[in-house]
Amino acid sequence: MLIYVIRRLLVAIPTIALLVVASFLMMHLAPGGPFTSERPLPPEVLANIEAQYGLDQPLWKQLWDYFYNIVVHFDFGPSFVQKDRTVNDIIAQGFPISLTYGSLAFLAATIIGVVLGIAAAIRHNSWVDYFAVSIGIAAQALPNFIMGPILILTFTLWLGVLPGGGWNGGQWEYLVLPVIALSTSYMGSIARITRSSMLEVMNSNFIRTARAKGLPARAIIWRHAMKPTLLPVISYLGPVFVYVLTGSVFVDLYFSTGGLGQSFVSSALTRDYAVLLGVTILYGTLTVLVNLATDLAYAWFDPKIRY
Amino acid sequence: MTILSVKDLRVGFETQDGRFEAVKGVSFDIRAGECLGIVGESGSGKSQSFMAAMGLLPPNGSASGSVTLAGKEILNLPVGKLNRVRGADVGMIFQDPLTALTPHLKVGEQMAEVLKVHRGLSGAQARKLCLDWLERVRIPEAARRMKQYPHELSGGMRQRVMIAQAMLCEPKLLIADEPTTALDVTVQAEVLDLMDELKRELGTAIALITHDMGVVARMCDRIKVMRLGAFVEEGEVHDIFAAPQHDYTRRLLDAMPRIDKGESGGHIEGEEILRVEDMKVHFPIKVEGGLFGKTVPLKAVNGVTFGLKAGETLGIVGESGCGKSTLARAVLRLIDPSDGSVSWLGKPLHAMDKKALKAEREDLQIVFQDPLASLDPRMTIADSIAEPLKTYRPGLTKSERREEVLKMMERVGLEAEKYNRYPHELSGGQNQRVGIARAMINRPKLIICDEAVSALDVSIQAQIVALLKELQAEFGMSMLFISHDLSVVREISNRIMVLYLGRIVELADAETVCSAPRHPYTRSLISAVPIPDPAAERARTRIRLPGELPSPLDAKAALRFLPSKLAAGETDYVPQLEEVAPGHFVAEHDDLDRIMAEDAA
Amino acid sequence: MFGKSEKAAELAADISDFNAVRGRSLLRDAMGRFLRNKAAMASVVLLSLVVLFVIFGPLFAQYSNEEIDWTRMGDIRGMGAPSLETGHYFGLDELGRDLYARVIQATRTSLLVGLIGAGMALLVGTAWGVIAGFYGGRLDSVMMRVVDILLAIPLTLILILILVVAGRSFVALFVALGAVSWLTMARIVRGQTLTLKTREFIEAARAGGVSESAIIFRHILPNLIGVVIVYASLLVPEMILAESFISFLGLGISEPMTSLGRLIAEGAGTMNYGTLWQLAFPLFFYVTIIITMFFIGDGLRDALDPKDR
Repeated sequence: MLIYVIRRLLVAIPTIALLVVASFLMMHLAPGGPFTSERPLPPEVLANIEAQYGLDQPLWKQLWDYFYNIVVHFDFGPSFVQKDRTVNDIIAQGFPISLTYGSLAFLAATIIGVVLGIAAAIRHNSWVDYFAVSIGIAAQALPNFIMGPILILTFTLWLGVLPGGGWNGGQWEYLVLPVIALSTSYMGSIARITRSSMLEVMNSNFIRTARAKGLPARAIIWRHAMKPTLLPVISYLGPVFVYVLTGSVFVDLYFSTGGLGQSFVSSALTRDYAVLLGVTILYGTLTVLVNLATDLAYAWFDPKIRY
Repeated sequence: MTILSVKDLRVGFETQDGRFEAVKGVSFDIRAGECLGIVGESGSGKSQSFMAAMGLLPPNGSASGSVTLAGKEILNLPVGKLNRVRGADVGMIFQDPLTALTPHLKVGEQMAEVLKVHRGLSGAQARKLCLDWLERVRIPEAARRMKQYPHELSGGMRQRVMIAQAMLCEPKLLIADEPTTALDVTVQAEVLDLMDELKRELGTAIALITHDMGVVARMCDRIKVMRLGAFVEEGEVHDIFAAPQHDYTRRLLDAMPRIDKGESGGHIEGEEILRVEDMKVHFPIKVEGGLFGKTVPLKAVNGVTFGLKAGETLGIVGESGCGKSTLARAVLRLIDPSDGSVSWLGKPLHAMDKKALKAEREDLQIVFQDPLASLDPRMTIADSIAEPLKTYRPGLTKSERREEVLKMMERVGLEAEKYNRYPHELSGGQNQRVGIARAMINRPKLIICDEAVSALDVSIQAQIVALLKELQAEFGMSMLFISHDLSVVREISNRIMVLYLGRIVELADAETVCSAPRHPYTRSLISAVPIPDPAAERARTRIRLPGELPSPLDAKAALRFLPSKLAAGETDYVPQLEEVAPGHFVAEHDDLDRIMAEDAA
Repeated sequence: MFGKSEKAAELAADISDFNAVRGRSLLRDAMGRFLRNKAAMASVVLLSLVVLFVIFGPLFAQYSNEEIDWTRMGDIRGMGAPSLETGHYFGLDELGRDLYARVIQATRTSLLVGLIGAGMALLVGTAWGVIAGFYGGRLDSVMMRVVDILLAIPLTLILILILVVAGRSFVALFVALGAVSWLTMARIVRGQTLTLKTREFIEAARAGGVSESAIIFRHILPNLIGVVIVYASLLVPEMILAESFISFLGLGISEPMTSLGRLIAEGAGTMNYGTLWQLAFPLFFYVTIIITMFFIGDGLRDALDPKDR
């Protein structure tokens, strides 16, 4: 098990390295840059700035320095646009916020989605089933960037019960709307996946055996059907966790929460490649780790998988 | 005393094409301490009757009539009341032991929950009882097995766990639905012995649902023959086997090949067309160890040498994992052999390039086990049959090709009107005829039948075997007939080769192998094959080898029949084939007594 | 004359020779199941109406999607509401442009995005997956490693990166969507190909001397159709969602062209001013397309793979 984890991490290193190189080259080879603007800077000023950020060096040297600084100093370099701030600063400020409401949204989507899906499957073809399926489809069809304004309109402008934006150190009133807006569509898909998975499991031979043993319905569902039902859900949860973190872009825009998504979009618009690159690498690494966690969770649910 | 009484039971299913009646009013009684056999082919409704009785029908099924257990009505009871009966008064075991056990619960946990719901036992008491029962069904190292997951056990052991679990509350009735169909023949024999023992010692009544007349002959006191949802014949087992009244029963009995009598292919003289020399197929298998794991070779086929004469049929038998199917594919080079040579009509098949190989394949064909899986589901059967024609006789016009296909279809017994049908519209037997037609259309010199009749019902099986024999008489091709079913192999083969873990243990004329086997493994195999004749079957003594069929990865397994070499520390020793009589080859082995003694040690 | 032609002879033989019953192919079976699926059929009808609207709607438009109605732009809330009289059936947007024309254009964009994204996935993903799965070995591991690396970057990030690097345009948008959509398809197709490869009918074809390319085209691809169609149909709403998200961030298509995501963003931004129609119309078309595509995708899956629920 430990050996497996080490092996996976070792394999992940070249993957992440390739990711860094590919994103680095793509951004540096693209036309235009952070310092090209409508009002061209005098050439000597531009040269000065470029020298300051090391952009006058040959590309391979820049790449090498970038790599070296990350590996040795864990330093992603200075921001090109925001003066006096490093990429590390920007990430350190935004990421905890994204992570907080992202994790809450992830938990909410998973718990409510799984409960809905199971309820629908157990009461297959009853009103519970139809209700859960309709909610699932509606939640999936209404993307999170539509949920945002609808929620603000209802809870802030009409009812006036919750603040429409801000972070305020993560007080709960400020968390409710972002978490709801972010979680609904994933909750819908999780409910649908859970439902169809459970229906299939309930048809399998070992459930027939459990029924033939005279076990009560409760025991059949919880002890026998639950783990196999959740297997496909788990493989979906890995990507969802990453989506919830990156999908936070709109939450930051709408609710002014100040998470990492805001930095990403603004740096995309201002071509602040240093920040873009840093965030991409962070998310890429996170994805690799989440995939590993998913595979480990799989092993816990399915004893046939041993690492 | 009657335990279970079924009166006018009807079972129906709602399908898209309307209601389908699977069981059309059957009545029967099961008495304490007897074994009642319900015999029928697929689709006869034999399983569905019992599923309905126990409330285990799928949601689209419904049942009417009456089922009483010890005088109390149980049909269509609410689940809560039914749960007091299921698992306590009636135990059930099913065909496929792998999928019938919950994969993520340990064996001990699954068993203990039966005691918890029905007896209120838990903890050490429950564990003790479970352990007792595991030992009683003769599971080796029972204490360790309790903590294992189902997938860590062999098929035979899983079925024993199922039996132990079903017997925990000492039910009055045990319903066994095709309990041994998925098991190897020696394992089947052991499981059947075990069930018989339970019946005699505890007086448990057994309802045995099966398609196999041999199993019935060994086990049952009374039988009911079921067809299309109704009983066609019922009575004492000896009476029915001695004098079957109904036509269908007679046909069923006639269709069963027997290992102890009946015709077998005789000796045949001819020119040798295929020579396989020291064939080895090793697959790399990843196992744990080291940072990146390591690979060890799985020796699926490990040095097999044989020849095949023109017009001859060589039967290849062995239990699962013996490498018989791998051998067939390696001969045809559908898998590349790791070592060894194949000489086909004097040409080295193993060294040919793709083009040369393609030219030879016109004469080398194969028929597979699963008739549906071996046909492309998106092609009409005519297209499937015509495919080899397109490759090897591209000059044919469309109508000439159709002529050929129609001629071959008629030859294998398919009506011309099926020309444009798709595989999913035909029955298993018909699809297998399509597979044979495809293999035969270019008149090959060799056909390999890989378990070609194993997935079919007995009566269909007999028809296909007869068809293959006819075709061989007409076209004179040679056959390699691979099967786990010795009785069928005996009927069709001239010679039989017995494989054990990738090696030949015995090779001789079909009759010799079946009536005078020399190698202990062959002897135990033959003695385990059930004979569809209760008198003969019950008079036989079985040779039980110690232990279960070992894994091919186990290095010591190869020397299972030479414990003397193992004891001498020669673990790398390779048993040699010896010609004990002209044409009768047997692998080196110790005396049977010496091997049996290993168990005690 | 007639009798001499070989083709005619064959044709004649086809008709007169014998009457073989026409079999029901798997696809025809699936078609039947799909036609019986009420939710899916209703969705097909509804979606067709949307498509017809996009095609024929412009004929009834009184204004183009860029011209500004100067007479009414001063008081959008009062005079810009949907009305048959003014010819602004769906009202005006915040800048005084005709929302009817803009919604039609936006719906067309969204539908195109969905189709092209799914189409790219279909072509590239299937080819990639079949080649990797069928030939296996080192080629397979290299090809799948590429997919894994690309999948490690979240979809929206790739989209944003490509659009930032290549600039905002229709072509860049389609390239960006195409670049991400095929990844999962390639994985699914590869998995299916791997299982198909071990099926006995493929072995039978190889034993029958059928060449590798013929095996791919005659046996593998036709048997992949079901999976590929189902997945492609599920990809359509996913692509539309992704594009809307990008447009919503202001990175999608540039003005005066627009897409549903952008219109919804604008409508959402102004809804406290009492101009709810600016949100309602684009949202209606958007939700209709997404929901109908869900049901159609589900229906196709039920029809093509009846075991799977």
